[in-house]
Amino acid sequence: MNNFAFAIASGPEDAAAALAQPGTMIVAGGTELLNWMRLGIVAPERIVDIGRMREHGQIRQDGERLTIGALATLNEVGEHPVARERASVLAEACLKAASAQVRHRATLGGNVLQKTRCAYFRSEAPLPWGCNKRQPGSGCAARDGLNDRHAIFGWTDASKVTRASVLADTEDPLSSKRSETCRVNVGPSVGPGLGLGF
Amino acid sequence: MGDLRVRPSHARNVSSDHESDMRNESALIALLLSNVDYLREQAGLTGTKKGCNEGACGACTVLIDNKRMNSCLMFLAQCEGAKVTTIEGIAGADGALHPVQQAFIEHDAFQCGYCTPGQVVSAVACIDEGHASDEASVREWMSGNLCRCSAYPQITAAVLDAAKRQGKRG
Repeated sequence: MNNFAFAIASGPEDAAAALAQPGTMIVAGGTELLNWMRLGIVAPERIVDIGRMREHGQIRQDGERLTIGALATLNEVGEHPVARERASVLAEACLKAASAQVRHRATLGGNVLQKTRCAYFRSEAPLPWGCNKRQPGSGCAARDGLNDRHAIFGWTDASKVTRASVLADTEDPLSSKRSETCRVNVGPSVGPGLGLGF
Repeated sequence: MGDLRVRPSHARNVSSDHESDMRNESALIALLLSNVDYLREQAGLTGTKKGCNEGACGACTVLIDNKRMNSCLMFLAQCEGAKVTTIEGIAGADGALHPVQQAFIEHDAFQCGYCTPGQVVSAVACIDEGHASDEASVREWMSGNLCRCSAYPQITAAVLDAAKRQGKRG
């Protein structure tokens, strides 16, 4: 890993301001970022810890709406009594992910942002094969390689990879209606200005 | 020994002479290490093992404020102010074995021993979480700790036994 600066955000505005600087990435649980750095997928110059803002990890029911802060951990969601009873697909999906140790750190927001689990992508640099995500234009080793667990639909000549989030499993692809009795509103409550996409 | 409290002083050290600057730098660099690297390389606590270094095997399991976590997936800096408990801190201050440690011995729950520190720390938390009620829940909630020697049946029995002794079995 390269050297980097480390800062702790005092609040969402603080984090947003820090992210405005190039080469800055945020860390919450850290269950993805450290692996990305070790594999050479990213090399931030500065890391901002947003994991202390616990008020953004609250799980709240207001009538028929369940609001889950982006910093709620997978264990917190999976073991929350209201989530288990009224949003059981989501709660069960959370508890199926990773391990108890990872779930104590991994946040729901981070889970949505995790990168694909394709083994060709998740290898340590320098890659001995083509990977269009790591090096655009180099090819896709998964396309004609070991791809049993890769996408069945929607793949292109450029990529066969799937999205790995637990939330991906909870959406019913055949219907526009939610399958739960209450509407779950999962929001990145830290605000849209943080550039959370990769 | 084995319970660290990461204090702000690890993060900041104000001094002007060269020797202190060197200490500043190594203290600051230490913060950028993963927990497992800090524990093993700098704190001299080599009981915690590094297995996969990617959060899959659980050999590096420690307790952060009594919650079990993979120390390979945290920067030391993220633990500021937290209580870090390693395997060295599981036994009593007088050296009395924790019920989990005692049960691991009685049930022969290890062969090479490499996964064992992680298993024990994880089991302590698993029981405290209330997830050691029966064999199925132990196997599910201890699934983050791999054992290549396949001592799983013995580990499962030990965890159940320790939970029973602590009155924490459902």
